[in-house]
Amino acid sequence: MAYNSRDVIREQLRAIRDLAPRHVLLLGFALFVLYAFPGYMSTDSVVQLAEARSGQLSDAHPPIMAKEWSVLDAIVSGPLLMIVLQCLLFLGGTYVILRARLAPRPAAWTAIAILLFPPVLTPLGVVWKDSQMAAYLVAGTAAMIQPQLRLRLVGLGLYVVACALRHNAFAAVVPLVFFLFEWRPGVVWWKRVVVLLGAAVLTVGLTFAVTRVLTVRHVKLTPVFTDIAGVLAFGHDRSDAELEQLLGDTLVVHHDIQAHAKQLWFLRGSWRIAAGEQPLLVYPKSEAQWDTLDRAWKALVFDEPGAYLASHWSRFDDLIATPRAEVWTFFVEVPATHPQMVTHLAGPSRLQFKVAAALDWLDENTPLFEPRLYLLVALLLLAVACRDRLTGGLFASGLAYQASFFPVGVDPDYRYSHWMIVTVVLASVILFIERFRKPT
Amino acid sequence: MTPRRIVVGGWIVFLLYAWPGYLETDGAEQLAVAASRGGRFDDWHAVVMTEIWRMVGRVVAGPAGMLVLQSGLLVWGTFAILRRVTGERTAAWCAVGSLLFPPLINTTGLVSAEAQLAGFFVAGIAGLLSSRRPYRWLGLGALVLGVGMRDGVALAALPIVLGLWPWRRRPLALVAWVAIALAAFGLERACTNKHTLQPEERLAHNDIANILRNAPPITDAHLRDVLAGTPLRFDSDIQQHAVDRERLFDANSTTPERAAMIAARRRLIREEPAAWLVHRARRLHAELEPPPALYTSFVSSEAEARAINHWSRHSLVQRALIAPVRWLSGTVLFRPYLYAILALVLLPLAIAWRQRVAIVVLASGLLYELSLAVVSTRPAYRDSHWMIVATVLATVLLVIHRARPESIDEKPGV
Repeated sequence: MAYNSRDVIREQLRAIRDLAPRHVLLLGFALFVLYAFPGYMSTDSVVQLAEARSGQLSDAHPPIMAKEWSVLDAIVSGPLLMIVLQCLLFLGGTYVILRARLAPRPAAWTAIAILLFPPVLTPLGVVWKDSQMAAYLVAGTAAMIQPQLRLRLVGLGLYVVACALRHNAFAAVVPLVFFLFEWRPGVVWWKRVVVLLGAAVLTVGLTFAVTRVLTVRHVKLTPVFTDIAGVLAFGHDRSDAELEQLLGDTLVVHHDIQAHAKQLWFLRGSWRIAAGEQPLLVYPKSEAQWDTLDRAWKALVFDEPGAYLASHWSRFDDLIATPRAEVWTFFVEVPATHPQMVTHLAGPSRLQFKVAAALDWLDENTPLFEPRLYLLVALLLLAVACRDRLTGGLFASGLAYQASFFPVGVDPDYRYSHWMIVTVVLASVILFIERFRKPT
Repeated sequence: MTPRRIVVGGWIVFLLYAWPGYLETDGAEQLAVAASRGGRFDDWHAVVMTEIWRMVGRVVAGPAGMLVLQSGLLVWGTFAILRRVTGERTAAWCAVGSLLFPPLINTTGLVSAEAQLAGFFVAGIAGLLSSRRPYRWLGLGALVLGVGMRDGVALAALPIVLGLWPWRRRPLALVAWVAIALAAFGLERACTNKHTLQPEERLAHNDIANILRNAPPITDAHLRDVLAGTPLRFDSDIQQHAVDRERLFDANSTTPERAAMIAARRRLIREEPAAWLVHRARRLHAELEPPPALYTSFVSSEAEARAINHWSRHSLVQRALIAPVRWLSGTVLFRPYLYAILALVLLPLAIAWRQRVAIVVLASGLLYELSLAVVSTRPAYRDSHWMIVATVLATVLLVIHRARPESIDEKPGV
């Protein structure tokens, strides 16, 4: 029988299509590892790795992640196993969730498609608490939809870890627990609500306990710096004398204080307010200074709640319309100092270089990386198409988590929207499958 | 556990030991060249290896890809060879045992031409033993790459090609061997874009100095004639300076000076063959008795790390796995002499028991070690890696044969 090239290609495609599900998953895993190898890191990641090695865990970053990293770093030095863990939890969890609605092979192909979908992929390739949280949440959700109670309890455990990975992760966890967890099927509604509230409280409580137990060095995390600058930026005009009286010895600049605050606010980067080249405020060194700042914060916020809300809306708006630089492909952020801090250095392969360039192109020329697109889809699908607990839980979780950044008022960063994007992609795929699945 | 899982498990233990791959200075230099865009492939190191590294580096940067390649070829190649003579499970355990055997893991964990050579040779043997034609061709290809890893290695490929030639026309095997040697040489020439004569100069310097040390008195006038054109540092008492182990030539030589040194070496070997043979015999002894070496460093300095964009440190598990190897590295187990003697003892036994693969492997290992006597300039433990791999593999084959006499190596069509 004569073969032509088209037959050969067709045969190869058929062979790929007929791959066993675990081989498909392995292929997806390998592609992911090739993309991220040996793991991208930012300053946050490097600091966490240094903490993991020194054992001096602070709560400036999630101590549970540093603890986890210290265990993995003892096996393979560096970020590799963290990336592998992120990928395994995410890919495995996605596959199990899809498996509930699809045959094994399509579920495996769909799972790797979601993993490799650029807006989902790029933060997952970086060792970040945000990526870890998303991976644990997906794995927890996969466990939560299982019929066995013990697996659902494992799911709760995974949610506890996820919750401990970000200060506002409870906003993502509570809707998931509320929609998905049940102790026993067929329980009357009020008992179910009691169990759900108990589970949610237990999850969040355990999270705080874990963080408290693991923390060696306490770092005060507070929004006072950004809020003071934000209210001054959006509020009515205030004289230097008034601000001198309000902020006392915490002020660094003494002339055109409000103009300076405005300038720092619109430059973005909260760190500039108390630590940049020309800061507005000092980082307090005594309790008295902290008290001064707290008093000033209360006075400003309660005096001008509109300015406070406007400043937070401004930050939130920036967050959902994140400016560029979402595709993080640095192995260390500061080449001059970071390699020495963690005895780790890596460079990109040609393949990684090209993939990063392609992702950058997508970022620049398409709206694929714009969080507000996913926000719109989530709101639309939640209202129009969502009829089951799983997709409802996912949409609610993503939206609640995104909304939780409003009171926090963080500097915009694409990774903060990662969980919302993951939930929207996953829930949309499930809805698509439900809508177009052939009746069996 | 299934045989594949055993091999994968053993391989993972190996990778935990060596991840992401240990480097010596030459490995770091090769990585720097391989990673550079439009790299300057000079003849200082095995260019075939640098070219492979460049291709692997397109997908995985740093030494990790090469580590996976060389260890994968070794462990899966060993498994493929052994499964022909015993059950798959036994083959898997033996392959893993060979990979993790401390004298082998030491060099296999080092990204180097020697470790690559062993990997490609084992894969080549496995390919030639296969009953499937594509694998046989791949086996020949692996041998070409293996031969390209070091000077003088073609000799070690001779028994493999002759002994395991899988096609009917046996005389063609000799032609194939010549073709493999020429292909490796051609590949090396094609990959090199800057010929420095540096390796030949190093060999010439070494040989000239040692011939003068071992030769009967030679007049300065004659030596000035022989060494004309070379960057000779002395006009008088030249031989005495060589005996006193002083450096005879300037370090910064020009290409014509190097060519003159290479010509002087040839002439001196012709004039004083006995002195050259004594020197080379001592060199072989030195290769069999090298200084103890444990290859567990990632980079030699921060500057080097920055130059090659690669830096790592040992994990806790890694340190625990290295500890026993470090302890054993001071014992007789890490002396190549042991394996040379063992190979010499086993070779007649293998012949007597008609164990073709074992014969081929032992002969290859011994010929390789002999070739070191001709080309070696600075003895190192890793130089003898192929002989140690070959001896260990042959030992396993012969033990399996004695344990199961009915499992005679059978090869369809041969």
